[in-house]
Amino acid sequence: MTVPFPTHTFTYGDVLAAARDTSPYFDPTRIPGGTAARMASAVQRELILGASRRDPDMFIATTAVPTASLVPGTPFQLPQFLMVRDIETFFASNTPLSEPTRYLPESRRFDMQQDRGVYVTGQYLNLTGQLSDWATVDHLVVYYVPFVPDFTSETDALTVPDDAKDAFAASLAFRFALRVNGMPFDGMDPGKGVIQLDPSGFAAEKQAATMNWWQRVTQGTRQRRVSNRNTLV
Amino acid sequence: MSTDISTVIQRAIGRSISNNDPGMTGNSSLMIAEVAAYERDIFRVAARESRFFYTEASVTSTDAPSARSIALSAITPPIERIVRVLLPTGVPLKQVDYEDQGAELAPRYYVFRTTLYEVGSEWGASGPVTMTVGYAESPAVLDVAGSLSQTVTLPDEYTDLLDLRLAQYLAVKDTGRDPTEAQALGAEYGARLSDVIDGLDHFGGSVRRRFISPAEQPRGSE
Repeated sequence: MTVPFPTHTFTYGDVLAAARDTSPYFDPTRIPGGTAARMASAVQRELILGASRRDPDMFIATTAVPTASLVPGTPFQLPQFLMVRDIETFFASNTPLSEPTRYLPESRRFDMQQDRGVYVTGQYLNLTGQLSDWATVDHLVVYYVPFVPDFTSETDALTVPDDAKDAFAASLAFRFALRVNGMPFDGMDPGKGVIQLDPSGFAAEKQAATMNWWQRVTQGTRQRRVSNRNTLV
Repeated sequence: MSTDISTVIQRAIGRSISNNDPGMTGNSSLMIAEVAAYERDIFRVAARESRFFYTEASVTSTDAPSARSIALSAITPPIERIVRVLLPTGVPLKQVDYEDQGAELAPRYYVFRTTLYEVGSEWGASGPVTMTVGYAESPAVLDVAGSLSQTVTLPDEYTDLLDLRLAQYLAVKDTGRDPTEAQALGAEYGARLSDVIDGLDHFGGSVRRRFISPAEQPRGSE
């Protein structure tokens, strides 16, 4: 199995520090580490999905379905994923060379009862056709965007690349602002008043930083030869 | 620090002729208890306002694979307030409430009385763990049954705070004394304490800080 990127420079702790820097009210007593980590995990998944829509290749990982698992009617459990992009068939004889596998919606599975095809149900890959249809196949390779688990430590590496750090921090800061705005200055003495932040300012920063990153992502796809321009923003 | 309790008492007596009666200060156990309480109050205020009386110490946990604990009641100097606890790797532990342990990422601890308790097995491999505790000091415990020659922990240049408090106590204790004397002593103590805290706080110069925290923080000479 391959992973999308090697380890980057920045860690979750760097993003967290950058997000907390945006307001003196974003201290750990108001946004504890566990809360921040769960917010940041959701932000990262949001960024990955958005980038994947603009550059489907960016976060692709692969996993192999071995010969022994190529049994129609026996689902094969895939790693946790955000989306399955496509599947490639490799043959035992190396001829023909690998070919795209028919990737169907589950509702069309009966269209391929006599031929090779795959469909996904939940986290499982299912094969159509008969066992004999798969006799010449050595293995399948599934291309997918992996589901990124929650951060468990400030030293965890980011899945998004380093140039997404500003977008990540701005998005996280916006979530912090929503949490802190209206929070009492002192929970033990509400008479001291409440914190008044303007979340719209943080939203604008998030929008600008995120769009900047996604535009870089899109420009990256434009450098590649493509047969269609459907993914261009 | 060489000021003893006897000196504090004598200076308090000197603040009013009415304090000369031996009955006012004859109970040495009471005098020691009062001075000890005043000293603890000063260190408590100082802990909130300044890092001056902060220190670090090494402590070792119990020996177990998980749910280890560290008892801190016997540490010297005594702890007024824990500020930071570090694993041997330098990773800081986070204090969580017993009921809301999900508030922080691992490694975590919660506190019952003066003992730290591990959440799960987050302090590392099985066995005793030696940690570094950074904390605000409390003054050394004075023996109320002991001698008046015991010295206080407060630096000598600040011990006038103790005799001001003690003089105020004597003024209140003495039935029929003019109440304005106790009020004046209280006001003088408040002003003097503020000066002392300022002095402790600005020793290190201005401190850079990122946050405005709801918890009272050392001021950092703002």
